[in-house]
Amino acid sequence: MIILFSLLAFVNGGFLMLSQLLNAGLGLRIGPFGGSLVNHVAGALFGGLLLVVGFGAGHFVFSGVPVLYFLGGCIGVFIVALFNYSVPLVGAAFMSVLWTSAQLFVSSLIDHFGWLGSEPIPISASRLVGVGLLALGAYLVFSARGGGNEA
Amino acid sequence: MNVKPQHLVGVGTSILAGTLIAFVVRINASLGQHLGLLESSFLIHFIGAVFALPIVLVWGRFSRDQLRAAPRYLLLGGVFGMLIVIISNAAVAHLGMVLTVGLFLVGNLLFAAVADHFCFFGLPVFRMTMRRAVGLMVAGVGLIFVLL
Repeated sequence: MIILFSLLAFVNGGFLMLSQLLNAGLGLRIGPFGGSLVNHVAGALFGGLLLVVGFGAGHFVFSGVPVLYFLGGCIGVFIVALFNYSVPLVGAAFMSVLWTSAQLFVSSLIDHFGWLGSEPIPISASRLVGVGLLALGAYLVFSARGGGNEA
Repeated sequence: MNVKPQHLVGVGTSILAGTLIAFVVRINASLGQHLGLLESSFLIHFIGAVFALPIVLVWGRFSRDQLRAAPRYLLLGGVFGMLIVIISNAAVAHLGMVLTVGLFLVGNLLFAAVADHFCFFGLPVFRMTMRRAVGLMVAGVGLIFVLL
């Protein structure tokens, strides 16, 4: 089971990149925000289909849910548009290094200072080393630009 | 090395995307706790679609002809987005968060490197060089340290 789910988690990362590449390819034709719009429409349609078929386990009860929690979808529109904008400029792999570094660093900060109402978790030495290595790797990729986007 | 302004812009937009993700992951998880996983994922995509429509109509360069001319498979990005949520959730239950995220990010990076080298979906090619490969490996080791 562990091996099966490890493989699934690994392939899932490939799915994310596939999704990012499809959206970016579409973005070249209808603009970064156009690609983001189609992404969200397709996701909503597919999700709606899964709910109708009966895969849902929760319920749509909105009372007592802070309004802030509903804004994730709006931020997501900008995230997908930013991906669509970035891929043709710096390539998928470099973009991947950059956004994962930024995400891991910022979420370490959120933990460290206890933002968003979470319990503070001090940043560890291995985390700092890891962020440093990510930055070094990003620099090496950046300085090694080979081919692509020469215009 | 031949750095052009648009590369720096691309670096900035990639970093901004990751920063937003750090916040949005937690916001979406909070909604998921209230509504359930599939319900919240559906709602997040639906709200995003409604929010994106006016943006695209007002200052996007959206053209219906271009959309019609695009290969159909390019429209499937959002379907994978939904699958990712479901698979991640199943994997976390068996592997824990650290291993799931680690394998996920490594899979993401490897597939990206392959796609860059071979030119997928009409996107520009970024050929693999020794320096690029070393950079990606150093970044991969960095990921492991961050997650430990």
